[in-house]
Amino acid sequence: MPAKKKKLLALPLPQWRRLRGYAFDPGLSQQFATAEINEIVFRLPWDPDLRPGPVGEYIEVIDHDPASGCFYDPVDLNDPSLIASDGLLPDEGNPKFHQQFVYAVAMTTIGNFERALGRRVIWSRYNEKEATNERDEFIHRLRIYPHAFRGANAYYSPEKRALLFGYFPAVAVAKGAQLPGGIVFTCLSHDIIAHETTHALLDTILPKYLQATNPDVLAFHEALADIVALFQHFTFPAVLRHQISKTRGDLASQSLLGELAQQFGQATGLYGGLRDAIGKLDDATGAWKPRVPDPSDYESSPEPHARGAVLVAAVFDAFLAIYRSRIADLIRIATGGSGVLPAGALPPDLVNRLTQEASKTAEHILGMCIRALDYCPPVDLTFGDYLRAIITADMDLVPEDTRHYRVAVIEAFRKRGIYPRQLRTFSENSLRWATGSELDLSAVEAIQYLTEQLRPVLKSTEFRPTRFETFQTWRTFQIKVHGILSGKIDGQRLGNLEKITGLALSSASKISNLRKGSNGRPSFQVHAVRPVRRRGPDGGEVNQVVLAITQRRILKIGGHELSFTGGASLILDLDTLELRYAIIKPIGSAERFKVFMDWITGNPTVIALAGSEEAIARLHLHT
Amino acid sequence: MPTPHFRSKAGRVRILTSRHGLGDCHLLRFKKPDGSAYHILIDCGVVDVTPDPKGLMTRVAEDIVAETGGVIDVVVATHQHTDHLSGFNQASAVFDKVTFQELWLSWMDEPNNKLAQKLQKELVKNLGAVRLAAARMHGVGMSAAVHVKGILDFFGPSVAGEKTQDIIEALRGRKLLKKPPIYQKTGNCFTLKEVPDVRVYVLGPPEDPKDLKVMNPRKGEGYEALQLSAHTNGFVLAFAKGEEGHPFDRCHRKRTCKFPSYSEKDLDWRKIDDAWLQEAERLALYLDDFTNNTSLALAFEFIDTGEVLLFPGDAQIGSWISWEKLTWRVPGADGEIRNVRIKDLLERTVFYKGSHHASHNGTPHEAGTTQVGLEQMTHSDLVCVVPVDINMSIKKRWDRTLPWPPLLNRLREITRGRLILTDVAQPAPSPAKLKDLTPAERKRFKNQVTTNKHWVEFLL
Ligand SMILES: [Zn+2]
Ligand SMILES: [Zn+2]
Repeated sequence: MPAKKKKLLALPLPQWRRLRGYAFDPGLSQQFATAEINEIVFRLPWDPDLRPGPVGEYIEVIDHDPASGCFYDPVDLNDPSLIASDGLLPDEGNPKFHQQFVYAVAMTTIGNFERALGRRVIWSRYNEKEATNERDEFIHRLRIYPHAFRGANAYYSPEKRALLFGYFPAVAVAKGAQLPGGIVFTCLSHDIIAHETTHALLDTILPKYLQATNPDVLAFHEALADIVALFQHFTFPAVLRHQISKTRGDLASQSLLGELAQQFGQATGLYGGLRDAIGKLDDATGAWKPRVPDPSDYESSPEPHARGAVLVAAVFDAFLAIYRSRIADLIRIATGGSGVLPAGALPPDLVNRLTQEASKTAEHILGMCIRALDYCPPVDLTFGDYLRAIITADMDLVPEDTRHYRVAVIEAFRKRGIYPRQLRTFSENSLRWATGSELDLSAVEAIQYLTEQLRPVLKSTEFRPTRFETFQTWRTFQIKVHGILSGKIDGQRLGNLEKITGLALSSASKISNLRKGSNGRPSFQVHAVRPVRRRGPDGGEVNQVVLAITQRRILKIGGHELSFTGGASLILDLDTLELRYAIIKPIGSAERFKVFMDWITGNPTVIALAGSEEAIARLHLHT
Repeated sequence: MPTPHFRSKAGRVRILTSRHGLGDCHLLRFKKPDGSAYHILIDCGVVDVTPDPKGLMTRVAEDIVAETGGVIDVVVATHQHTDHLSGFNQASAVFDKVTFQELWLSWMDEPNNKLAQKLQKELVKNLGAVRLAAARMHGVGMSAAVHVKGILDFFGPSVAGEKTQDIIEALRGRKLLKKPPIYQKTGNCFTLKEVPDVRVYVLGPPEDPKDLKVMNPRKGEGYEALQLSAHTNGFVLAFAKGEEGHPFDRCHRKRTCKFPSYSEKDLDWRKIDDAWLQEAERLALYLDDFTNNTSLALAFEFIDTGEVLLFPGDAQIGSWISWEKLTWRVPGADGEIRNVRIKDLLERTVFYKGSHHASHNGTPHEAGTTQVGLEQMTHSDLVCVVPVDINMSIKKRWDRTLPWPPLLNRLREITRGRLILTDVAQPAPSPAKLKDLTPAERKRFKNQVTTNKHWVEFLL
């Protein structure tokens, strides 16, 4: 549905909409004693077409509570009194405030993704029932159901393209922390909303990551969702300021950030597991202690949640290292070089600056983690791949790593045993994805031809078209790429392109059980053509297009049909018409096949869920 | 049906395990000092999807009568699941004429135990909600309905109105029960009066309800399931009338929908009218696992040799965890009192009845999940018998996890091939599978285990 034409207004529209919300889960606020720090104001870009719901450009909140057999009327954020007072006051007993809060947090998360990726977020789904060219279907808005069911859970439903939040009676949670009687609403937790929204965002960027092709993929979905929730939370200075001033003497140990990280979201008892890897409270002293990283952490945690926790912990380590180096000069200045802070309350200016640094660092880490998604393979991601994606994305954007962010990331990952298994050394340069320099002459020509056809993709982003128009442009190019790769380029013209991309494209392909098209050539799916256009802090510019291509081999295992997928993310440089990176998961790789078979036949969850419709809902149970 | 013909009547104990299908039925025969037999029957049931269960279980019961002469010294009903109890009902025509000297039940079945009654009441209430949800799910064509019903069936076929609880009632009230039921206290141990060289240890069910609620072999998540049970309360209340369970005041609740896109045409696929029922699946699984953890888990020990026979029922992780907390003070062969811990019993186990049909959470077999588990069963004579039926698992759509292949592999390694599945299609261990045994051990095993169409016989 295209958005309707806007009228020209005499006055410019406001730039921001301000909405009140909780800084912490309502249940947790008691632990932080002061109510005043539990309220923050979210600042969202003004949506000129916002309707009651709220129903905006990206999301629609629908407050249906089928277990209670009722609806709750929608909040109208354009009500003048609400505009004037930054929305409704936080109130657990008012469903309209719940609607406002999920909207504010989900939009904040979407905003962070758009900023990091440099393009607009578009929801879509692959609809097998449609005609071949129309299978990618535009979904205007993600749906959010804040009171969808009664249960201690919240999940993203890819089938409905919706977030479903549950609510449940409060009970005692871990370690005797008591919640008041009454009801816990998962839709009132910043972290849960950000987490679930991230599942939806990741699914629209890398749709094959909901397939459990190895232990890392599922773990990654969980881990990224948790990382985004955590660091987005840290970007709000108000959340940090109070704690930083309170634990004044402890700034160097950074334990306060770790403790805070773990406490987010714990009021609901959800996500505790993912964060436990960061550290824990010492039973004897009651003090928080970071967990000592161990190079066996990754290998020894095959279960998806545990493995995801290792990634969260690694990113958190990197965050702490960067924060530490960023505040070193401040501490020196404040202590006259001694590094030892004088007794008494910290000067407010210092608190503010420390807070700023922590929140800036969080913002940068968040951006790095999201940007890396464009440099990930379209299927079968491993954590080692993700490390390479983070490093590659960052090197492209910020060639001079003056603040040593990349070193911090590499070090934190290495300490927990996360590194690409096929590499011998872990320098920036070895971790960066291989460039397309090994293409032979025919392949270079093929890529040049293909990339030239894609140049107009960037144009499509220039005049702020509607999201639907953008979607249509992208889809046109998907079809075009498919046409070129399955028609124009074959035989001699492919050169060594198949070898470099790991794709089976030619009719001569001998790979078994490969799905073939009607023309006898291996079939494949181009499920994304994404423009990547970014400007780095030192003026560097990136003009690229990412092609995500996948294909399948159909296997029969004990009467059940399973597919083995392969594919490649091809990153094409629109300026030079070169293949910049080929991030590949070769469909014909015997080694990959073996790893896949070992995994699929050795895992209770995977086996039980293979072919099950509710796979995602069940895997994303957070209790 | 003829009596199972076995070569030998010798040995200190003979264990017959029935091969009738997916379900448990074990007949133990100990030797009294005067040389006569002392029979203990542990469970007698089969999964609901079995064809002609009545005929089948009647045959099993007739075999038991032929073996015991119509008098069983002890009948043990481990827990309230059909695949452990149904036979007592299906074959009532046969069993009605059999004398049970004693009936052993767990504390969970004790009428005067307040905690047991509270937990049972909760269970019944939750089951009721799940049944209603399952009916609705079926009505609106949700695919998970089949799964939920499959789990519910373990609590007895709701159509016939015969629930597993009723079977326990019937056992308790039967005429030919010589003594009042004995509710074995967890953590107890005692010698069998009539077989004084055998000591019985009561391992489970756990006395702490927290342990009853732990089902999954995941690290550091003790409180997970505890929360689940409390959290489901809201879901259960949705099936009751009244204000309780509602999240907001009445004034907020509206019949009409003011969200126009919700009812937009062609967008039915995005509606959530029935999605909330999905919670029934979690609750059903939870209730199923909970009930498995209520299994009366027993270990029989020969006082002189220390050899142990382990019958855990369908105990899952929570029960295994709770065994770690128990200490028994018993005289050893030399008369000296010592502490016995579960680890000691596992180390001396020579016969292990695979818990919960070799599901992935029935026997701890991965490092780090629990302190004790399969890895502690280190006795060189260890034999394992597991009641499984692949065809029935397929019918229940559990074939890929019940039995759980990695567990079977580990069981096979730890017993060095002496793993016997009751599924009649599964051959007895071939010589190739027993290659890691010494010739003497192989010979011993050959003399120890015999199988025919209906029974597996183990001799000690
Ligand atoms: Zn999740
Ligand atoms: Zn059973």
